[in-house]
Amino acid sequence: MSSWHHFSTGTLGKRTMRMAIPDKLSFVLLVWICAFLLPWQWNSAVIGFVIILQVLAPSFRPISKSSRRYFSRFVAYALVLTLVLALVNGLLIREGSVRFSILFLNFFDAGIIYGLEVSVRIVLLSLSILLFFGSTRIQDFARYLQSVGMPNSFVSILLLTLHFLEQLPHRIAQIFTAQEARGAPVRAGILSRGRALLLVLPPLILSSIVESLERGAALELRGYHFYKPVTIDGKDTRFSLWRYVFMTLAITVIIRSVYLWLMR
Amino acid sequence: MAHAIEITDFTFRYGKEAPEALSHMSLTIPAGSVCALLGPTNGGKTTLLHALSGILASHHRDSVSSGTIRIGDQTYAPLPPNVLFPAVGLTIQDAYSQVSGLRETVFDEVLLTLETLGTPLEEARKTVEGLLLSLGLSHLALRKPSTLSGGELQRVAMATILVAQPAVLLMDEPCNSLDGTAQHRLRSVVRALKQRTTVVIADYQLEFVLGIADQFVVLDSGRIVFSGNRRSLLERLADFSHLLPTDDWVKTRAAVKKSTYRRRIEKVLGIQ
Repeated sequence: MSSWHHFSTGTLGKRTMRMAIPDKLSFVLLVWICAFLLPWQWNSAVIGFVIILQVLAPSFRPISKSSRRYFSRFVAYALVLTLVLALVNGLLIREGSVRFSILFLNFFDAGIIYGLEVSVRIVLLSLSILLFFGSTRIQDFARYLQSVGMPNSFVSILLLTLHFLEQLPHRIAQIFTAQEARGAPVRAGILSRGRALLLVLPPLILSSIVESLERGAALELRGYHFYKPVTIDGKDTRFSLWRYVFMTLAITVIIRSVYLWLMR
Repeated sequence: MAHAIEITDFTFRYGKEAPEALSHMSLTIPAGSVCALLGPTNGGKTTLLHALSGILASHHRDSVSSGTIRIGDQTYAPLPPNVLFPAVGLTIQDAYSQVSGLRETVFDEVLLTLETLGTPLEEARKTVEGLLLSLGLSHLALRKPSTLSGGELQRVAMATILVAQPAVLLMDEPCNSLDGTAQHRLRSVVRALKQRTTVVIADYQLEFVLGIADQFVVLDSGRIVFSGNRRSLLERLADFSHLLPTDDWVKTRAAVKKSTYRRRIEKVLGIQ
């Protein structure tokens, strides 16, 4: 029975080998600063580093199989996105020399590089968010937000929204199965799926709003106040080497960018 | 400690122009007893439960009401202005909505109630452990609420309220989507609460409450058309055949052992 305690209040405030949430958030911040201030070649290396972290660092390992699957899928889509953006920009922005030609299409240097800059930035920003949420229990994150003084109403809305988003694919699948059972070709192809999804989504979103109201009332009936903080284990005030390392690196990247801008 | 409920000449409208949802209602429910509110949809069962829970006034500012509601030693004229939890707990019709979705495990979901009430965490954990054990939910403690079956979810929903040890427990159609076994388990839970808690169950299924309720109240269009014990209800069955579903009467007939009452039910059903 006592083992429940380990699951019941998350990892906030406990001394473990894993990074605390603020450390991970500092890392995400560092990645974001890199994404905006470093050249795309360096950011490509940062992307590689983030992928390696997801595999090797215990703190950033996905918490579930689905998180791992989403991460792998995203990496695959990111490669395609980068390639497409680089090619489209290379085709449309006709500046610099021609890097290569396919049949009668010429792809220009400036366009390709611009496409790479944009796509690498998008991928890095998204990847860092995915890395954080894929490796962090949402309840732990909510508790962290509450412990740093985030309004209870905001945290509650965030959690209810995430709960709805988590349930959404399941509900869509249920509706699709029900429609298939009466002969509607909702899974017959991409077009049918898309059309069915468009029809299903608005009522689902409306019903989720109604359900949220019911949930709100049910919470109120349990004495829950959206504008009153709940009891939290305590703020994490430990000294963290990781946080200092990440913050120092982030400041270094900013100083480098300012220096380069001044020397221009 | 259980509270008695006393409703005197209580009338409620959702708006000035709206029809009476509850009309000149007078009812006394002794402390520690189980009261069954029966009747068709729109009979006023849910409205009455919401009035007793205290959520009605805060959610319907334009409502008009008169009369008095007395719960324990508190008198409200006419409505409690705020939610009365933890003194009065209400489980709503949809157990899925009752479970907040703000917590990842059943244990944490139940714990949330005590966190909200400001109970020290260690004490709260012990209370939750004890309650889950007593409700036979220990094996679900680490499960995600959204993965539970209807019956399991219903019991977890009850646990989220019972953990605060309310003096009055209001249950709105607790048998929704429950199979026979789950209904049987729920009945055992309610039986165990007798004397310690005053339980009010609103249901359209007579069969579920027949074995556990001490008092039966039949509502129709916001009015009390019957109030009495099991014996008097069964004696007047024919009067309420139009208010309760027929298939339910068949189930009730199966549940009633005493031949006199069986014959009365058979008469209602037209079985000779």
